[in-house]
Amino acid sequence: MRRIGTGSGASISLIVAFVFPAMIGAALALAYYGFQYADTVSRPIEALFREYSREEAEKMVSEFETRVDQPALALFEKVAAERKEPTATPACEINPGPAIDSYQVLNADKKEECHWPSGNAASKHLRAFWNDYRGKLEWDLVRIGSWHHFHELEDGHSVLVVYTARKTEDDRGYFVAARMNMEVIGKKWLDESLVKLRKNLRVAVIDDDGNLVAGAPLGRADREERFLLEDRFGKALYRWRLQVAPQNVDAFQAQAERQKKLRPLLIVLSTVIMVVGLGIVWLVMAAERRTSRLKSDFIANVSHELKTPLSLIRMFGELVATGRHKGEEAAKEYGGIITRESERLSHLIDNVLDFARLERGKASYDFAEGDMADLLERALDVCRYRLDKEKLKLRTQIDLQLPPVRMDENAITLVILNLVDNAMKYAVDGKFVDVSLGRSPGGVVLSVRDHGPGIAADEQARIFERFYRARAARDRNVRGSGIGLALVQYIAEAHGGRVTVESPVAGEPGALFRVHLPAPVPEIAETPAPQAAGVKS
Amino acid sequence: MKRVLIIEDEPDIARGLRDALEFEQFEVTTAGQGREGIRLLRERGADLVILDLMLPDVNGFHVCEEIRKSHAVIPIIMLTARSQEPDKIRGLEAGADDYVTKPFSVGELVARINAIFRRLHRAMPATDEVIKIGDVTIYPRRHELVRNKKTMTLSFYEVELVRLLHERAGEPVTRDEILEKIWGSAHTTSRSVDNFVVKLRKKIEDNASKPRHIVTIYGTGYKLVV
Repeated sequence: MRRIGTGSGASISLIVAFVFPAMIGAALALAYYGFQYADTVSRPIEALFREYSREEAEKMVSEFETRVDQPALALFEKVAAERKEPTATPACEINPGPAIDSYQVLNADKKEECHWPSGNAASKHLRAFWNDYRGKLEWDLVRIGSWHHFHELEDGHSVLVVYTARKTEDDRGYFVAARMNMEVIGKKWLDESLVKLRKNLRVAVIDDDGNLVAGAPLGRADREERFLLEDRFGKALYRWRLQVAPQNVDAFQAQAERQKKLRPLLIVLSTVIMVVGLGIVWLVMAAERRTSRLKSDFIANVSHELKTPLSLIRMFGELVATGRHKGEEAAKEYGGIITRESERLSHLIDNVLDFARLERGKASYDFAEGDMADLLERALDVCRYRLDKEKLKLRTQIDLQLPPVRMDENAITLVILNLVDNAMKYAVDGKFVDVSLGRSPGGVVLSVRDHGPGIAADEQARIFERFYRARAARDRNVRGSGIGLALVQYIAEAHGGRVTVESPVAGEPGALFRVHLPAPVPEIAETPAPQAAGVKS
Repeated sequence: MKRVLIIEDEPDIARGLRDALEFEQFEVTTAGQGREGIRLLRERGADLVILDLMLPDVNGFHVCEEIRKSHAVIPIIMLTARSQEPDKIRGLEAGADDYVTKPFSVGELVARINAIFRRLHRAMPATDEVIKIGDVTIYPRRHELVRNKKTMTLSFYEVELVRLLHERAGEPVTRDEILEKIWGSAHTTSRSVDNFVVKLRKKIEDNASKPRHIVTIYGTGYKLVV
């Protein structure tokens, strides 16, 4: 049978043909480059440390230098406020706080107007300092409103001067220079800033002459130097450098080594997971494709199955209605065909509806104790007409002394009709269809045997799968939907029983289906062959 | 008396068709299998074949192709439960002239058979008419088409379609007009016209997906460009 392609089928084929190989290729490429990358990364372990520590160090330096500028900027604003009045004369009486130990105010010609503190003892010394430094500061480079830093090392100590150029409201220029108190900034404030870094790192601040300003000396051991990171105090204290190193080089190195070993393992693991995942998805899709194909065959089969009896009903109905027949006898015969095909249609619709309920998980049965032999007789009566037409002889062997069976009569009738229908369809050349009902250990067994070509061994398990149709049936265009035996199995199991198939039967061609159903009361002894006295043939 | 061969495996359908067609004064032969049908046609001949698609021994499409090898002109009506568009196209490609899906009306089927016979009788050109379309030469009486020194067979409806389009070459011909003049009944839909055009293009055009001779006039029909 020609299968009609669907849109989803085409996209699945596309995925299988192109996307899966591409994804597997990508996973393998990822693994390859992952290994390469892991190797590159693990080489300079110290680079990991630098990456890890640089951000923290830069942040500390930036925050510290911003803090250093604050007292000087506050002083500059206070001096500006004091000089707001055009007639005001500078007195250098503003106390700049502990971070500034001296400041000087100069006029536009860089002549000192005053300095602070102005006490006699300090005054001589400070005048000498400012006289010395006035020549060192780059006054001409300072733009109005901005400020500059001058950082100098002197006898192992740092001197930091922050200076600015300003204008009064009447356009008179002046300069202010503040000398920072290094006892406060370089010790107290610096220590406070370094505390945060010391949680994970060892830190030190050194000047350009190699003198230690704060912290413990670093970088002497070679191994430490590999893990030494330096960051210059670039803005204000530009003669200083911050040095950081791991708290424990051995532990850091061990951690890096562990990462070096773990990383390839993780890459291998993730690649395996990806490939296995893809494999599972592929298998699921293959199963889904198969089910989808079977469903589409099922729809085609059911539609064909429905159309054949419908065609006959319509055709013969039309022949009778329009009088296109050869007389009363023919009309009667047409009526018989219409009746029979209506039954066939009804049986097929029952099958499909029952199967649909089963598919939705809503199949439920009304169980009641009943006489299986009587039910079988009634079901076989429905089949007799067609058996005669197919020139098949029905041979029955029914044990009339069977215990009552707890069953849903409609469902078991469907089982019998399906099995006999199968025997008729697939074994039309077999001449006989044998149906027997007898006892089995713990219950009863219904057997339906045909004498047709039989079922190949590799297909015997699959014929109970929904939508599956045996090769012979497909090849010979035998009508069928592929749900009959699935339904038989489902109903048997819902009754606590089971269905089996045997082919060939004791070396003879044909197939034998057995449906075992439990019969709980009374206890039954095993009797493989029906008793002659109670058997109807 | 016209002879009809029915190749159908469902005995009741074959029986019903036989009764209905015999009632309409046709002489009917039936075959339950594809190979038997081909054999009966060769041995006894027939004027029309009704062919089921799902046969127990050979696929109906294959039977159709086999029949066409020896009987290029005989009208073949495919009778099947398969009503999907691709099945119809496949059937027409295999050489069928018409496609009837189950369940069908006997009255409609009989009407179609009668219409085919009427047109077959009326349409046969008296002389050896030759139609040239580009580098293709068509011999309607012989139901043949020659292109690149290769001879292909045309079915009855294909010949009729070419003749109609050729008579009106350069003008658009509506689908309704084609239906009316060639099929002559309301049972066939305009999709059948499209299907036959697809078949013809494959035989006439260099590239059937970009036709230069049988051009679609959107929303109307087709135009033949010689």
